Amino acid sequence: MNALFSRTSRAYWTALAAWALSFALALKIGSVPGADFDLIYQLRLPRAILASAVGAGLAIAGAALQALFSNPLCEPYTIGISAGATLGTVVGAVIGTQLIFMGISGLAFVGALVFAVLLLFVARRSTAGSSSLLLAGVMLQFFGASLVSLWMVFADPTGIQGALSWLLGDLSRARLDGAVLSLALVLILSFFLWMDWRALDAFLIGEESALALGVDTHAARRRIIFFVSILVGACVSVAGMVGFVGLLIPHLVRRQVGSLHFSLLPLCVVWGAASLTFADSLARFVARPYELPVGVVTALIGAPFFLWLVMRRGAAA
Amino acid sequence: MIFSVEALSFRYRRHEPWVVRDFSLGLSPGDFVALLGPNGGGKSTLLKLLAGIIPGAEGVVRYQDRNFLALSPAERALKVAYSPAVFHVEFPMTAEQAVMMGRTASGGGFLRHINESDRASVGEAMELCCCSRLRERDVRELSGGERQLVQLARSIATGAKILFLDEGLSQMDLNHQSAIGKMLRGLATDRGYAIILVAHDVNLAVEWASHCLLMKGGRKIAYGPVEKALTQEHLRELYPDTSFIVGTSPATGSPKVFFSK
Amino acid sequence: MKIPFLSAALGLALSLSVAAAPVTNSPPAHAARIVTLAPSLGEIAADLAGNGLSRIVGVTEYTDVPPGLKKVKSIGSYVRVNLEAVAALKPDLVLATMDGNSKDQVTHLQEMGIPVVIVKSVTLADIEQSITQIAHAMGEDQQGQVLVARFRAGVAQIRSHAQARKFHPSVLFELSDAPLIVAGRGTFLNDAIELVGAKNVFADLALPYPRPGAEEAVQRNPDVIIVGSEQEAEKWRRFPQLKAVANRQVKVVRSDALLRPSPSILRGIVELERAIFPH
Repeated sequence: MNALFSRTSRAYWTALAAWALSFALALKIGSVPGADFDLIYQLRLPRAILASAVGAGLAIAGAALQALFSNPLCEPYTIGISAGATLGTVVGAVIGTQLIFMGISGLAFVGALVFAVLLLFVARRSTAGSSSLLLAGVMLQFFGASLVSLWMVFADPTGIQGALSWLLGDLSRARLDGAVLSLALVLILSFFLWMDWRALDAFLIGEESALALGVDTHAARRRIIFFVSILVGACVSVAGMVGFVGLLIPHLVRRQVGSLHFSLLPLCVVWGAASLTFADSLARFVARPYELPVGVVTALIGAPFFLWLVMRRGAAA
Repeated sequence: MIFSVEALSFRYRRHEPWVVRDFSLGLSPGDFVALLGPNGGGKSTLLKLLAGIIPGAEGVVRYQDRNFLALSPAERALKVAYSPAVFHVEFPMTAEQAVMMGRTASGGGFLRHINESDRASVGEAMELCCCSRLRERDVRELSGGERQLVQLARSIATGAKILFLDEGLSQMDLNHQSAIGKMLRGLATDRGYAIILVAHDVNLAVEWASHCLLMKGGRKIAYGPVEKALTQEHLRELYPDTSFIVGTSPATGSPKVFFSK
Repeated sequence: MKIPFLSAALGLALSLSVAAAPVTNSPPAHAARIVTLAPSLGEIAADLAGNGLSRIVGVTEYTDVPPGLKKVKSIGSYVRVNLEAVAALKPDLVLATMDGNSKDQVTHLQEMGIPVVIVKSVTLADIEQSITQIAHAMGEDQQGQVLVARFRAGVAQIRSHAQARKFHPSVLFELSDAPLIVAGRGTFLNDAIELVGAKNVFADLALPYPRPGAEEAVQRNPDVIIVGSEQEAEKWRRFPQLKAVANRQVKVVRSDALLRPSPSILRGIVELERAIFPH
C-alpha cells in the first residue's frame, strides 16, 4: 500500500486525474450549450482524443530534445521537423490536393519524414556533435517559416485564413478514426523514446560525460531524433504548429519530480495530454461562437505563466 | 599490467599539428599517477583519447590484452571511469541523482530501474567522497569543490577500477583535497585501483601519487615513481620560465618544489 | 533498428492511403432547416424561401441581405465556420461555396451525414447556375426559374447600355491597397467590368485576386481606377502621371453588393457602371 502513495505514485495519480478531468470538460463544454450525444460523439470526442494525442506527443518530444541538447530552451520544433510538415502542406495546397486521410494530412507527414531523414543524414556526417545539429534545425525552422509566408502570398485572401490557423495550431480537423490513430502512434513512439531513459539522463550532464558513462551517444542521438521526428511530424500534420506545450510542460513536470526521465517522460505524456485538452476547451469556449486557434490559447497562457515562474524562482526550471 | 598504451598519436585534422605524439604507458593495479604539465600540453586530450571519448587516435590501447577502443561504450565504462574537468547541469538534479548516473552502464535493460545494489554503490561512493551530506542538494547550487566531490563519487559508483580524473581536486579546499587524496591513495593500494589524476598543484599531488607523468607538447617528458620522475631537470623542461629548486619535504620525505625569486 | 523502421513504415502507409470518398447525402424534398455558409448564399436562399424565411436557421456573419436574416443565429465567419454551431442546429441542408469555405470543413459536415450542396461562384454564369442549383436543393424550382429570369433580364439591360457605347476604358479594380490586391480574371468582378463595357486591365492574370506590384499597375496605366475608400483614392493621386489621375478617373465605389456573388450584385454592377461612365 505504501508504494501506492509514494511521492512518484502520487504524481502519476494526480496527472491521470488531471487528464480525466480535462477530457470530461472537453466533452462537456464547447461553443454550444446543451449539446446532444451526436454532437459530442462526432465533434467533441475526436477533438478531445486528438488534443490528448498532440499534447502528449509534443510534451514528450520537448522533454527529449531538452535532454538531448542539454538545453532548457529546446522545444519540439527546434530540430526543424515542422518545416518539413509545412513544406508538405504548402505543396498540397499549391497542387490543390488535400490527401486528408482520417484527419491526418498525408503530404505534411511525408514532408516531415523527408526532413527527418535529412536531419539524420546531417547527424551521421557531423562529428561536431549536437551543436551543429541544433544549428541545422534552426535553419530548417526559418526555412519552414518562410515557406508559410510564401504560401500566404500566393494563396487567395481566403486561403490565408487556413494558413494562419494552421500556423497557430488548430485541432478542428479532428476525426474519430484519425484521432484514435494519432493517439496510438503517439503512445507507441512515446514508449520507444522512454526506452532510452538512461541515455537521456546521461545527456543531461553533457555529451562527453554521457559517453564516459557508457552511452553510445551517436547511436542514441540518432534514435532519439528519429522517434522525435516522426512524433513531431505526426502532431504537426494533424494540428499545425501548436506552441508552448513542448517547451513548458517538461519544465513544470521537472519541478515536481526532477529531471530523471524514467518518471519524467510518462508524466510529460499525461500532463501534455491534460493541458492541451484543457487549452482546446478554452479555445472553443471563451470566444463563442468563434473558435480561437488552440495555439493562441497555449501561447497566451503559457508565456505569462512561464515568465512568472522564472521571476519567482530565478532559474528556468 | 592492466592498461597499456603503445605509440598513441592524435591530431584533429590532417594538416594540423599533433596534439599527442607517440605516447606509451603501462598501468598496473595500485598505480596512482599524477599527470603534470603546462596548459595545452595535451593532458586532457590524452585522458579523453585513452577513455575512448575522442575517437580517431593512432596506436594501440589495451585493457588486459584486449583492444580497449574496440569495445562498446558500455563495456568501456565498466572498466574505465573518465571524469571531465567541467560539470555543468542546466536542469534540476540532486547530488544523489548525479552520482546515480554512474550506474548507467551497469544498469541492464530499460525496464530495470534503480535497485538496492545501485543504492548501495552510490551510498558507499558518496561516503568515500565525503559528500553524503550533500545528497539532497541541487547540484546547480553546489560550490565548485562540492561538485567535484559529487563527480568523483559518480566515477567511483560506476564500479570501474581505473579512474581517469581530469583536474578532479582542483577546486577543493585543503581539507577536502587532503582527505580525497588519501582516499584515492587508499583505493589504489588497498583495492588495486589504477588512477591517473591531472593536477596543477605539483606539491599536493605528489603526496599521494605513486608515479608521476610529465607531459609537454603532447609528448611524454618523463614517467616513473615520484622521486625518479620529479627531478630538477625534468621539471625545468616542463616549466622553463619558472625558477625553482626541488627539495624534500621535512614532513613526508616526498620531493617538493620550492620557488625561488 | 527493426522497431523504428516498422513504426515509420506504419505511419507512412497510413498517411499515404487515399481518403475515402465523402458521403453525399441528398437533402429532403422541402428542407426546413437550412444553414448557409456565405452571405451570398443566405441571400439566394432567402429570395427562394420568400415568406418561409424561418426555414433558414443558421447564417455566417455579415449575412444581412435581406434584413430579416440579421436575426438568424450566427455560425461564425465563412472562412472558418464553427462546426459545432452548425451541427447543433441539426440542419437538413447546408449551402456551401467552393470559393471561400474551407474544404475540410465542408467534407467534415458531409462525413457527419449532413446534406451539403456546394456551388461555384467565379463567373456571372456561375451565379445564375447557383440560383438554379440552390432552388433545386430547396425544392423551389419554380421560384428559382423566376429569379433566374429576373437575373438574366438585369444582365441583359446592362449589356444593352454597354453595347451602345463606343469607348471601352481599361479599368483597374482595387480590392486592397497594402499590399495591392486587384481583381484578376478568375472572379465575377472581371465579368462585371466586361459587362458594363470596360476592360479589366489585369485580365491576363488568371488568379481571382492577384497581387501585382504597384509598378506593374503604373506601367499598365489604366483609364479608370476603382477603389473602396477615399484614403485609397488619395494614395493613387500621388501619381499625377497616371492617366486615371490626370483625368480624375479615380473613383470610389463603396458597394457590398458588388462583392457578393448573388442576385443583388446587379445593383452593385449598376453602381460600377455609373462610376466608370458617369452620365
